[in-house]
Amino acid sequence: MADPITGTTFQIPQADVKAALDHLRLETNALSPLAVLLKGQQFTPALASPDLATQLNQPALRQILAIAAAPDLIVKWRIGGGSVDLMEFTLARNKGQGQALVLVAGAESSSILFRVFAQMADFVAWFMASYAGKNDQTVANYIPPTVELGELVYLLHAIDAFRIASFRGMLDYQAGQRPTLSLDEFTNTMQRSVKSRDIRWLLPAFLILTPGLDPAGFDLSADKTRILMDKSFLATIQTVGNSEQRLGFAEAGQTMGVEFYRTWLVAAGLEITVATPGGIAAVERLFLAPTALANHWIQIQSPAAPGQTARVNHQALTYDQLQVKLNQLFEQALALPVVPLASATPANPVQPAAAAPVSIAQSPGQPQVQAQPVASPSGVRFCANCGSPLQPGAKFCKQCGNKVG
Amino acid sequence: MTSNDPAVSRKYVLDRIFQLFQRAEVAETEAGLDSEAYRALSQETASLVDQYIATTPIVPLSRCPFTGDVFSHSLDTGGLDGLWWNSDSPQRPVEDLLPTFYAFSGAMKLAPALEVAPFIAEPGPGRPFVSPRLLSYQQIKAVLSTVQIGLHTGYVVAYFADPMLFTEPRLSDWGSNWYRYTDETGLSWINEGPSDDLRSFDLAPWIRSGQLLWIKPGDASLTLRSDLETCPYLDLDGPLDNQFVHNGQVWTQQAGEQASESDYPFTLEDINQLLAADKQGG
Repeated sequence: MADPITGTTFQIPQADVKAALDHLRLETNALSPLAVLLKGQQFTPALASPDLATQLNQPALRQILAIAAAPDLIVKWRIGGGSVDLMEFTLARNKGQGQALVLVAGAESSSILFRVFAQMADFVAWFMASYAGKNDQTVANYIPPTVELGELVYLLHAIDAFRIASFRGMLDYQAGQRPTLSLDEFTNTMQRSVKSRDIRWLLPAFLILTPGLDPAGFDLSADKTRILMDKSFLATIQTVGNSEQRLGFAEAGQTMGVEFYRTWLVAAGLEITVATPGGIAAVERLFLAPTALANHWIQIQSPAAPGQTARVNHQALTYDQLQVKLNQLFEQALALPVVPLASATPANPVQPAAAAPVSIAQSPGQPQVQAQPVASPSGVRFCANCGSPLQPGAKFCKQCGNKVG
Repeated sequence: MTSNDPAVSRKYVLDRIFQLFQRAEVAETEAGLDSEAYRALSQETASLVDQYIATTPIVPLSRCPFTGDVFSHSLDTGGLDGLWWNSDSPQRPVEDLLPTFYAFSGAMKLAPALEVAPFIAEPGPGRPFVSPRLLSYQQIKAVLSTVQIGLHTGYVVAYFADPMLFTEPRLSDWGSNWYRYTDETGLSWINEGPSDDLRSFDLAPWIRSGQLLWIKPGDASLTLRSDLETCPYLDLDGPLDNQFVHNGQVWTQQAGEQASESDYPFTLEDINQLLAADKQGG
């Protein structure tokens, strides 16, 4: 499918990014995705690529780096699960630079990829075209809001348990048999599933892809398993001559189990973090699992007070509903009051760059700008936190104490 | 008279109001609307109506399927003789509604013993229904729940919208010919809902499509459910037409037809006139 978004795209060798920031007299702040990507990396003291210095004179590239270095709002994304490997990227916004958002991702071959979206709606359109389920009919929401985070964990594993049973049935040539399991089998496979960190299963995918989930918000006590029966995911089955209580999959478990067994390919987790006047705060966390039937939207509601249980709001959305909800979610976050963050690294005195204010938002059809990747010739390392040069073999920065080993 | 038992207080207040209605009619006939006797009766009636409204509870009835927030609405659960149920001139407290609230309708399985009250109560048909017109919007979902109204079983069908919809006429609030909503400017309005709406009593397709959720009767936690297998609302019987209750009698009529008021001791105009006279005098 053709990408509906035409945006500026840059790819810069990771080893050159620090020098590029210095060249532009830019400093990373505590929200900057560059600070994370560059942590522990080796940098060239000056631009190694002969073309990059020229390209850094382009206003668009300068503004992209300015946004990526000092955002006041970021959206961390993790995408994967089902049959897709894990990938991560961060969307950065700096209100002072306008509405544009810069997607920053660690690319293969030690490069950092920058991609620009003129506004959040453009990013949402790109995300929808790339990942959303194309369903146009509503389906039953078997996990209506709200449920506790711990309860959701059990429900997600019930869906996985159906998939496990279906795969086992297939491997054992047991066509047509309704799968059953004991509560012990259920909890044992749940523990193995979580430990496996295998995002091909829904529960680990939720736990790993959703950034910033707080384990303290989970209550997995045994009484939470009641929700499996209450929401018609599992039901007790009467078996003749068997003292062990067996569980079968009730309507919700069967329906959602089949849905995810047959049609789930990918999931996405996101966390929106904003530099508010009260400090840096994660304001939204979301997990999305598109299937052929619905776009499963799981919004984490942080506890109102310490000690309270986190809850989640699950919705089964159509394609259009997901687009509306994502735009609403981001609009609310983008409208929050923000403050500029102090930089985490001091600026190096380098040649000042031209600073004409420009818009990096390109209209559709404009050519993409691509920096040439360059090799990293230098062995000199710099602290990713404060930018000071590091002694060879240093485990900690002498200037700021940052662990760099 | 006052009582610690809300049911006793409610009964006393209503009985007194109904007595005053009768006496006011006599006073109007014999002494006229401007008479001191009529004005005194009006004043006492208005005071008791205020007392009735103030003691009518805001009852948790349902839950928003978009936010999970509990939906509460004023409701006289004591019986159909409460002024809340006077379909032409319902006396109800004004409560804060959820931002996602869209419409509030209902139905009622009537017990054999009916209340005696000098106004028409219109609790809807005898089994729950949904509005296909509203549910044709994917942004609207309905939730079906149960509430006991005296000896009767009430079926609450609350509609919620996300995002909010402002262009489509809503449904008259349960038991009334009016509805109230808050628009984008924050103002509350009262309008008459369409009276000739199609109703769908076949609930299973709506549950299957995810646009109708349900709450188990008696579930104080108001947990939303979406499965069909355990849904207790699918095979209910009862009249499909609107039921009208007046002075211990019930009859049915298709939605949109006008009920005759010729046999009633008090008309809507009588009651409104009585209340208006107090305001003028007071």
